[in-house]
Amino acid sequence: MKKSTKVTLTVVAAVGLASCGRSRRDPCDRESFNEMACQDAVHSGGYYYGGSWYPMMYRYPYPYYYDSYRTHVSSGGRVVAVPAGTYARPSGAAGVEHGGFGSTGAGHSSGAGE
Amino acid sequence: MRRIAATPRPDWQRKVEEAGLTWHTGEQPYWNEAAFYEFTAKEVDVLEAATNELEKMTLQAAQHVIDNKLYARLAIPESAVPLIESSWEAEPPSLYGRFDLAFDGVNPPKLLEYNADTPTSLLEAAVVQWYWLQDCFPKRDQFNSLHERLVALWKELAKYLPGRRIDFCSMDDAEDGMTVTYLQDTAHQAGLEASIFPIDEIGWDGSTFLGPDDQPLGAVFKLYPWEWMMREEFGKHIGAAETMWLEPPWKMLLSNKGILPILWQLFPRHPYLLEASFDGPGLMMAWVKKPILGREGANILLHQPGQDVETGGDYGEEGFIFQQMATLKSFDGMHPVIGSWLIGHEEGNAAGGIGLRESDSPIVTNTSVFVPHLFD
Repeated sequence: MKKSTKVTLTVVAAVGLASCGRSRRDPCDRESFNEMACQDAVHSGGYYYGGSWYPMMYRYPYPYYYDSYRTHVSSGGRVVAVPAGTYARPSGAAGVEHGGFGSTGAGHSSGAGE
Repeated sequence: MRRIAATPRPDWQRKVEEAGLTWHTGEQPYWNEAAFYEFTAKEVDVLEAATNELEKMTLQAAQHVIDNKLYARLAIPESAVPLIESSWEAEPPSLYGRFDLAFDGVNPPKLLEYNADTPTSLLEAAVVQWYWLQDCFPKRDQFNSLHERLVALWKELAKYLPGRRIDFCSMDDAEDGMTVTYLQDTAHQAGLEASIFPIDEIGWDGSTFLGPDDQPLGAVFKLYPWEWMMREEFGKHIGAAETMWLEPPWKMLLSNKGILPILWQLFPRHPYLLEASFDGPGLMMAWVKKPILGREGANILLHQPGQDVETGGDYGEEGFIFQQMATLKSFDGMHPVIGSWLIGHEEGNAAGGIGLRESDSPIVTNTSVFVPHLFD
């Protein structure tokens, strides 16, 4: 039985991993800014990238990221083109209903964890 | 057990963000390393033993509820009963849970409640405080094998997961999202396929639950309470579908505050329990009234002679339980609650580590502050 031990993490968890190990780009990042996708990401607390959902916490309202992007561009900053459709939500097939879970949580001010 | 003031690392914000804790400072700080708690090895032994014993007791309490059909006492809808009973019999995989304990280092730990279904603050306990220890006190130890245990447990559970795949879903919420992201990371490290999506993206095609890509969902970890799922539109499909859910449906017996009076009935005056009742405070002088299906310290009433303190919220329609008020010792004016984690359900070996949250009031809410710990 192990009553206490030293943790040996092989990778940095969560955000550290997400930002280092994958080539996805945040739509609110000034270098890969996408107006519609960023608005949706700030609103939803995350974004789709290539069909996968990535939860993110945005500390500021959308205009902050837009202004940051505009400042970046006007000062000659680099912008990376993200292929169209990259941030799209996966399309649903005919005859499939969505949204049947989540309504109770949407009515509460905080998350579902405790 | 002591609370010791400390100097935060100069760039602590960056360090905790790198470990995944992006919500360290909201309207007020959530992560606080200007202090830490120090335990002795003996105190850690006490916490470990209490956690393993409480795990055994809560499983017995679940069996008691099922044997005696006490579902209505827990405000569990009839539609959930077949799911609970079949999942209890089948023993599908279960990942984790967290006991919230009152402990002062002297008296036995007392169970305040059991977050058996949707516990969070896992990343802080498993990773963030561990990096803090490495930076600040690398020669000392911490009651924390959570990360290793999670990876090991996923490896063990792999054989139960169709296609060695587990999909994670939660609400669009920063803390919940990071909890499932961390769990996804541990599943990846165990060699599993895993994705994440918001719970409202789950689809239903008439016979099968589908992911956002319309592929069938074999096994899903949902950071979303069973009592909510059962009452929502897709709840009626759960019994008919083949999707395996983690935590399993029987966990709704234990995440229910009604399990506290049932434990007291089964184990009266047990040193790890506080007196609890469905029917009122009885002879208790100081007591806490909690909603049967309450969350995050909402709708709690603390009663002491001549003084009532109440929290707001929108829970309580299913009824309340009454629990003797624990004496939360004040450490420098702060009241810590120990979140003691269970990883898996191996008898006598489920306790995996602790995380402490403290508050200047005796109620732990979602704004209570996480403080790291160590022991010698």
